Amino acid sequence: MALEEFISIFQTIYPLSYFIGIVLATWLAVKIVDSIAKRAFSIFPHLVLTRVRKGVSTFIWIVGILIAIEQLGLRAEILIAIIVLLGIAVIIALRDVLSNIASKYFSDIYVPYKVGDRISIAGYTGSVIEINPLVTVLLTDDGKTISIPNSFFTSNIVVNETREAWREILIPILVEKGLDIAEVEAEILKRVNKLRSRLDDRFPPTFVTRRSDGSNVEIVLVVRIKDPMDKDTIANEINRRVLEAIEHVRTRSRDKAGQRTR
Amino acid sequence: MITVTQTPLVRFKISVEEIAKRLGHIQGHIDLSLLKESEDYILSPGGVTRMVYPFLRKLVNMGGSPWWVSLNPQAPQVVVVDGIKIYHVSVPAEKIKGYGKAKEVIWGTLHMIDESSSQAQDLMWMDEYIDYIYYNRRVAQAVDLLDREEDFDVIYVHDFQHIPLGTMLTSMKPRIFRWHIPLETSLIPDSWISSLDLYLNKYDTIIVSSKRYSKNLVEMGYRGRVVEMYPYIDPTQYKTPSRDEVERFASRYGIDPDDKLILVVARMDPMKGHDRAIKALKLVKKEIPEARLMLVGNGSFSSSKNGIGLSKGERWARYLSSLANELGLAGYVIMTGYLGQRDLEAAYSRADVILLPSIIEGFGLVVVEGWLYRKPAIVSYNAGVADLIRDGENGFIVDPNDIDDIAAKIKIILKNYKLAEELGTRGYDTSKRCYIDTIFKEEMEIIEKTIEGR
Repeated sequence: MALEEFISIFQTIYPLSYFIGIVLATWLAVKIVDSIAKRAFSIFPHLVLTRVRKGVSTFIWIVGILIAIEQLGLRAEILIAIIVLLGIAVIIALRDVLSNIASKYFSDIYVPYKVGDRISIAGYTGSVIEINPLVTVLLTDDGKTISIPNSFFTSNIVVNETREAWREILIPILVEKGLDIAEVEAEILKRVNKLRSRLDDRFPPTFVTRRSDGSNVEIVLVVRIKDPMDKDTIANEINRRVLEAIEHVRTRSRDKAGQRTR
Repeated sequence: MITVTQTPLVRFKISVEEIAKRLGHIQGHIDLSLLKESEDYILSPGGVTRMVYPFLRKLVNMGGSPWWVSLNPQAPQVVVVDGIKIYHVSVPAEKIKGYGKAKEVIWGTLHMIDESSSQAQDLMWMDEYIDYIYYNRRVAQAVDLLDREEDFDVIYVHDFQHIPLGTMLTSMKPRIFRWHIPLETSLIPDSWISSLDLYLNKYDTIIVSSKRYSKNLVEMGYRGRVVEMYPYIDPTQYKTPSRDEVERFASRYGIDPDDKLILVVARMDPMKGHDRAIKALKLVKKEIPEARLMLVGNGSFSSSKNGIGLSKGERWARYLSSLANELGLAGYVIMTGYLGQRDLEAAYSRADVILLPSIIEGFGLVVVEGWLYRKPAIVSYNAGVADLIRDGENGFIVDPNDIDDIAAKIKIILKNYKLAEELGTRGYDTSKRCYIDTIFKEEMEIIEKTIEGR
């Protein structure tokens, strides 16, 4: 083989092998960072953790792919510029909507009220009949409906007038596709029941299915506490246990799948 | 429509592998008509399935395509019976055991069984309750899956075992719940109230079998539609056996033509009060030596090998046997176990009196079955069917704990043929209130109202 021919092949393979190497390194980085995030934020609500992990993974993948693309001699700067400009445009155009969605997102996590509760906010009082991504709808005593932008709830004082609302902790849980919801519920109950001494004995932990898009199912774990001072601590502890239960089911189902393959 | 019961209509006597061998496949829908009744399977003899089956058949005859979901771990997944598609839910054996235990505690508590009441307060914190929730989630998954494929108009849930389903279903279809067992607020532990309130209020309509239960339901905080409705039977399913058939049946169990036969048709369960019947027989025999007692029924699906596997039925049957021996009644108490439909018809035909001595009973359709054969009935006042009895006119009502009174009423009937005949005839007239044709129309109206949200 002539030397020029060898150099030509090497010059073609060299960037390609770099590209593959960077993709593999990105994959590894995603795994490592995900594993660290999982441990570091284990007391975060499951819903937050799932979304943070997805966000971090996506970010690492984007960076990794852009670096890899550069190895092939392509201009990644233009791609980055387009993504950034698109992002800015979306944020400017949907500023109000995004702020409401973000508020809904936080209310999903901390849930100071739920559908059916009677609340007061900014001079309005009524029963919550709907919480959608943009607004929370109240039904007043005289039958009027009031739509309150969700962003109001993060910048105003909300009074939940429902009797013993302080007792209730609602933990939203996303059961992803591939996880057996019956197993997830069973594992969560096993772990949460161990906190019985801190919970209201008359109200055992209960699940309510909120929605399903055919693959993911969102359920809410409803528990009631004995002492209002415990609320934050117990919410964190339950979140940790929920996460642990989900990991347990995920590992078990992976092991089962592995056994079937073997 | 999709309906849910715990007990399956079909109990297979052969394994899924054997079914596959016979039919050459096990995939898709298994047509039950290709298998042999009694040899390969039996149809569930009583309880809720006895009601649901004729109702769904009527829907099929009207052009409907109903589905029926029930627990049946050792059965093909989908079986078709008379146009009804039956979906069998399977749950691992260890979970079924826990579910069965939790279910028994609920059931026992609502039936005033002391053993259960002591565990009731802690039930919802027990590991067995986790299995109970697990089973319900499996049923909810089946219902949601089928609903996505079939797009049902309504979800009709039977049995207290499935109360939590309401909070689990993602389907937004209207939901009806039928409460079959006693519903006494005084028996419900404090720790159940909040959960029951949450569960029950997820149903649009709840059907109960008596006015008292309806009132109790509202007192418990149920805000939906409450309907009182008697359970029903399809009288066309009950044939009158020939004299020969009845005689053959009687001789098989050693019953002489002159014997006076007291018949109790009830599964082997302490709540059914068989022991009261045996003790009453002892008193009756002092005056009527030819009196004999026949106990028909075996354990429930819960205590069957293919079902939940609890040994409650067997334990109770053994106790009754030893009680009969102890009282010197060994040869006079006949325990038949499960009887097929033809034999059951012969038993009703041969009986001189039907006795339902239950300590507590949601309704008691066996009394209505006995009335179809114009037999006089003696019924515990704790049974829902007692609502239909005018004491001394179309039957007798007794306190199940008053053995003397039960014996006295049996003696009155066995000694007075004319009165027995009158009670039987009037009972027959009363039974029409529980015919499927009478109630089907009413039930369809309720279903339509629920669907339309009226």
